[in-house]
Amino acid sequence: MFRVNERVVFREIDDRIVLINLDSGYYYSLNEVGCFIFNQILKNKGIDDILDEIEGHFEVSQGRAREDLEEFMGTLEKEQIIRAAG
Amino acid sequence: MDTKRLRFQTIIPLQKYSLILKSDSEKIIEAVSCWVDADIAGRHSADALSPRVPVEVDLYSGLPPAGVEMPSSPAPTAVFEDVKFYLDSDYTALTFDDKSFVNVDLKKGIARGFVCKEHLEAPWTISHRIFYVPVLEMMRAKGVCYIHAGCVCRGNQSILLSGGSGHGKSTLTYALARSRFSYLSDDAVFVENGPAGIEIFSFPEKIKLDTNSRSFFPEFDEFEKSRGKMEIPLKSTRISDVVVRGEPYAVIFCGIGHGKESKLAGLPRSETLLRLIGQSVSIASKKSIERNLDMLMALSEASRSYELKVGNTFEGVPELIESALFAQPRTGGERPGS
Repeated sequence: MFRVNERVVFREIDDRIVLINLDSGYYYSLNEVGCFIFNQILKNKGIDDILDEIEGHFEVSQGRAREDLEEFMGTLEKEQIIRAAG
Repeated sequence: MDTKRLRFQTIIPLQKYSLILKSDSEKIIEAVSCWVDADIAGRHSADALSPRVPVEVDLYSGLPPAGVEMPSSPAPTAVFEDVKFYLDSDYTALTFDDKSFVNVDLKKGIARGFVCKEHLEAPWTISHRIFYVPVLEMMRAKGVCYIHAGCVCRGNQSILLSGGSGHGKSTLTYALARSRFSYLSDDAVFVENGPAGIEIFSFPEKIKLDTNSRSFFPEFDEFEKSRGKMEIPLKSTRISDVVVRGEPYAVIFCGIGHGKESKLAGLPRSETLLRLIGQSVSIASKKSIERNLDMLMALSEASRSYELKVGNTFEGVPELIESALFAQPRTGGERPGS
C-alpha cells in the first residue's frame, strides 16, 4: 500500500489532478488515467487492487496494465508524491 | 528610528489593503518604494491610512529590537534559490543568503526583519526578496492571492493576460488598453474571493514597456530607444479608461507565434489552473498554498480560457479578442462550468 505524502497538496479539476510538492516546489498534472490511479491510492488500495480496478475501467491487457502501473507508481515515489505505507 | 508609511498606490479602492513599512534605513524605503511604485516620501500621512491596515513590515539595518532574531532551527522546511523557508501554519521565517532574515507573524500580519550591509546595497534583493516574499505571504494569509499577469476590462468583466516573462504580456495589455478595453494592470493583480464573489484588483498608475514593446506603437516613436524598460505615466499613453477592479471573465495566456497571423485557441480549465500556478504560487506553508490553490481553482472555473499566439504584429489582436470573447459569447474557448 501507498500513502500520499502529507507535504503534497492536490486538487481535482475536470478529469485532471493538479499536485504541488511543497518541499520541492514542483507541480504536476495527472491525466485521466493518472487521476484514476491516484484516487485509488487515496482509497488505500494496494497494487493488485488498483490493477483490478484498472482492468474494470479501461480496455488494457493485464500485463500492459501492470507494467504501466508500476512505472507510474515508481515515478510518483521518485517525485516523493507517494510513499510506501509501513 | 525613521518611520515611513505607504500604501501600494493612491488609488487603491479598498483601503484595507494598506501597508505600513517601517525602517531605519532610507535605502530600504527607496528600494521598496520602487517596487510598489509609490512615492512614499510625504505622500501619505498616518491620517490618510485606513484604520484597518492589515500588513506591516518592519525592516532594520541597524540593531533589530529584542525578539527579532535569525531563525535558530537547524534545517529549513524548504529552500528556493537563496531563500530558506522555516514554515509553520501561522508563523514563517525566511533567511536570505544566510545573512538577512524576516520573521513573519501571519496571524497578526506583521513581518520584522534585519537587512545586512551587503543586501542594503542591493535594491532588487531588498524589494523582490526581503520585502516582497513576506508581504505576499501575509496577503495570502488574509485571503488575497497574487498573480503575475496583466489585466484589462470590458465593463466589470476582466481579462487576465498571463504568461512568462518575455511572452508579450505588457505589450498585449497595452495593445488592448489603448483601443477597446479599460486598463487595470500590466504586471500584477491581486485576487480575493469575498462575499460578492471573486474580485480582481490592482493599481493602474503606470505601464512598463521595454524598447521592443514600444516599437509596436507610433505614440512612443519619440521615446529614447536606448532607455530599455520604462515606466510610462498613463497620461503619456493612449490609454483613456482605467479601472481598479473587475470580476473574472477570461484568462488569456500569451506567447509569440511563428506565423504572420495571431491565433486564439481555447484551453481546458485544468491547463488554465496549471499555468496560473506557475504565475502565482510560491513556496509557503501548506495552509497558505491550499488557500492559493483554491483561489486559482475558483478563478479557473469562473473564467473562459484561451491561448494567444501573437503573429508578427499586434495589429488586429484587440479585434480578434473582442470578437472571440464578446461578439460570439457561446462559441470561443472553454466555458465556465463546461
